Amino acid sequence: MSRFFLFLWEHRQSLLFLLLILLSLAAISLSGENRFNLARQINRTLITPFQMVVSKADYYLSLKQENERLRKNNFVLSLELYHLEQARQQNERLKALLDFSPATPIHFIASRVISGGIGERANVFIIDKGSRHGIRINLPVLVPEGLVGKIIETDPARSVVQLYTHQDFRVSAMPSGKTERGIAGSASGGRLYLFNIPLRTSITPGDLIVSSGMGGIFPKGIPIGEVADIEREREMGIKLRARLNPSVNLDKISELFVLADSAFVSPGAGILFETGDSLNLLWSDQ
Amino acid sequence: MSNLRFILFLLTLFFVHLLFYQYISMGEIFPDLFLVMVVYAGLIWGPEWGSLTGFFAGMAQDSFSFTYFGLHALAKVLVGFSIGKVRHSFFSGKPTVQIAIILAAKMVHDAVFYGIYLARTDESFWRQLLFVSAPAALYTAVLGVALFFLFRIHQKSRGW
Repeated sequence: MSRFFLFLWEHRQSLLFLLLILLSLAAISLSGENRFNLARQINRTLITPFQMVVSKADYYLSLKQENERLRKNNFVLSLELYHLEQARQQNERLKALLDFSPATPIHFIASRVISGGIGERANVFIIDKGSRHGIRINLPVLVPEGLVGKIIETDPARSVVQLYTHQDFRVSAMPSGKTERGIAGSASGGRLYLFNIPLRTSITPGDLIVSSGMGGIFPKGIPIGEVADIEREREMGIKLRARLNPSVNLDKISELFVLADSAFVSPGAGILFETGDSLNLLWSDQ
Repeated sequence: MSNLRFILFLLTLFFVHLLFYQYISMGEIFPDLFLVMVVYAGLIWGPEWGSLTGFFAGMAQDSFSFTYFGLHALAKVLVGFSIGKVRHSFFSGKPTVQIAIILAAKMVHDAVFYGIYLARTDESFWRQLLFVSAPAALYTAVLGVALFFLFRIHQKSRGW
């Protein structure tokens, strides 16, 4: 027995190395759900407390600067608000004249990015709002420029956003002003494409691709990207795919919006705008 | 090094990385400070601590990667252990040597990582290594030498 332990002790470096390699390989070979749960557990236990501290410190450090900027903005916005109120009243009068049906309010929850992930190709954001603020899985996440991703995980105080660069992310999409549909998502390496385009297509470089509203997660009209070029899909060859220049630069995002279900939002959530069945008013999709 | 110091070392590593990560990126180029710590642990304390540091640092990074969980850990264990094994052959206090070590470690790390990550994709492995990993390795190496310097000062002041 003692010889066995002596052997272990003498070869402890190699054995430890082998053990760690095996553990890593075991982690890689875990099934999707187990892998996700383990990653989530480690993230919650080890990383989140640090991120919260860092995020709070960063928040307070930038508060004074932010205050100055907001004061200036406040003056400009007050003027704009006056003009918008005039326009709204005129709009109401015209809608009443044309007998339009009442519009549906869409709520949003403004959030800050706590972390953008710390590894290669993390493709997730951690944000500072969670289920107690009304955030649920699969809610769309966006910024004024366009689509960012969707919620894939929530805690009471934080959520995980799956970015459009994540290889599992997919959204039903269409060119703005045209009727063809495809599936937008990331190919390997985070490059954004519109997949599943028929060979005879009217899509051309420069077209703006927006969400189509199909699929039940993303409302219609959210900008996704502009068509850079079109090529045959490599696996099948009977369909085309369009490479997109994304509308949103993920590197520059520190604040974003989660489009919320009005039945679940907390009183602190804002109303983004009113519209019928699309986001046309926000992004002027033709 | 005692276990407590090792844990403190890891916690410091987490904190520094989380605090500065988003501020020290240069456009698309992100430094890998965790790798610097792994190289450091391997060089100073040998293959056991090198591979252990690699495993925990890699797992922390992997907790953000919901698709390829375990891949950072694998690559970093390999780097930490290898550096620890061959450390006596080449380690020197010269910054140029240290830059070369970190640069090589980052390239090996990324070769392992992207070799597996891109295996079933149509993205070019060599393109990734040349245009993304190489600049990131250079940047990581320069920052790494500065961190090495700070750690050595701290250790000397504590008499480690």
